[in-house]
Amino acid sequence: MMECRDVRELADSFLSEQLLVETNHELLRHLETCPVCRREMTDRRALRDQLRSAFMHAEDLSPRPEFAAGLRTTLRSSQPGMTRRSVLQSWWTLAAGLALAAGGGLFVRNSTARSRLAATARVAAGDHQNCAVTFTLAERPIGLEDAGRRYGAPYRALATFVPTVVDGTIEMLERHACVYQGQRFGHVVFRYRGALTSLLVTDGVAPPVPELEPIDTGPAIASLPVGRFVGFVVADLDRTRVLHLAQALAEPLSQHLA
Amino acid sequence: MSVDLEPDRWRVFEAEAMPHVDRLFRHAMWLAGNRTEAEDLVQETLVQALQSFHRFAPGTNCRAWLVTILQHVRSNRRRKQGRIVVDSSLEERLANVVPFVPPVPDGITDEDMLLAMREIPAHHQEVILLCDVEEMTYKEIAGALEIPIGTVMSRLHRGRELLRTALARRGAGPAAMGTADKVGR
Repeated sequence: MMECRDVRELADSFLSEQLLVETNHELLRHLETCPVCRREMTDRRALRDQLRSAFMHAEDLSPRPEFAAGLRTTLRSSQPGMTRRSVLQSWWTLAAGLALAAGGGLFVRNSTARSRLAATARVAAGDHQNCAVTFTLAERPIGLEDAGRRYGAPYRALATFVPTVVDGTIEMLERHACVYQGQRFGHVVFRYRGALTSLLVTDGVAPPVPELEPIDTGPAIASLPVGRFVGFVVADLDRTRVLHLAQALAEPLSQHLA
Repeated sequence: MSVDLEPDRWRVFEAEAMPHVDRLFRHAMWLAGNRTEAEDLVQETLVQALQSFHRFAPGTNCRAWLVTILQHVRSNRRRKQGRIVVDSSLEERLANVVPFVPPVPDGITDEDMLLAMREIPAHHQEVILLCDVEEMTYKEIAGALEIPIGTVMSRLHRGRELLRTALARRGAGPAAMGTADKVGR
């Protein structure tokens, strides 16, 4: 059982959302029973929020309105222009690229994309196992709203996505953003046909249509295109059922995140 | 596939990076302390960011990426000017010897807060700003400041304590100095 002294030592990391999941839970359990530590934590959080607010609203820290406009002009002019020569070079590059593709380049490209997708799928399967099943990630997951602020709107959109299927019911369990082996995922965990199921969305190469990933051991995993992202459905279910689930989710999820 | 890459790159860069100019400027302004240097810092940061935009991973934290570049630009400038380097091991030892941390005072104004921040050492200010204002992770802060994660943690710990002490010293509220004093102000 965590004591007040431990809580004070961990307070900074707790406030910065840097604690491991287990430690975080222990600390929260302590806070539920200790009004002194709860007050201390509330005060610290208020202090941080006020600092953020003071910083954001300080007049003397704000840029001159003309600075941003001037900056755009400077940056645009720092871009290398498309001269006649560069345009010609570009056309030659394109022509060479097309010739290469005709000669087998597309095969190489597809093969590379395929191996990247397989690698991401393995990481997604690991995230399902270590986050949804055993809850033993090294880095604490954060809320999708928070992730939306930090990493972009699609994470926030995932917070409101409601997966629907025709062949069963879905019981929502958890939504967050988590990191496994350096890959960040938007992660929705739900129960489908009695199995703990993960829907994971991340940056990466996506297949043109939902397809099963050739992973021999562990749960079945299907990849799906989600706009400019790639999604994975992972569950300890029959492979065909996992593929059907991915097919059912692909279109509505893409539209929701667009 | 370099055809049409330049206009496309600018369009993506504009959408991803330009919304952060206000925050980036505030950060630069706080660090530099004068408008001319802050504008110069931000401009150099964005030029570098645009040139190396292919290294930015879409979907990751663009603001943290920009702040990291800004910190590196500033750090290189300071290195050229021969500014003093902080002794990290000394900091970590100091982090463990604070005898008393006053309670967080009530009635703090934004002005109190920023003045108190100015009273604490600059390297503590930096870590507090990156963590509490820019919401960067310890790992991102360590990368931006080119210091170990352990140093990030000790600077943050010590910095937050110093900030509370500075706030209490400024007499920001009754919790720090008593209601009578507050009324008498």
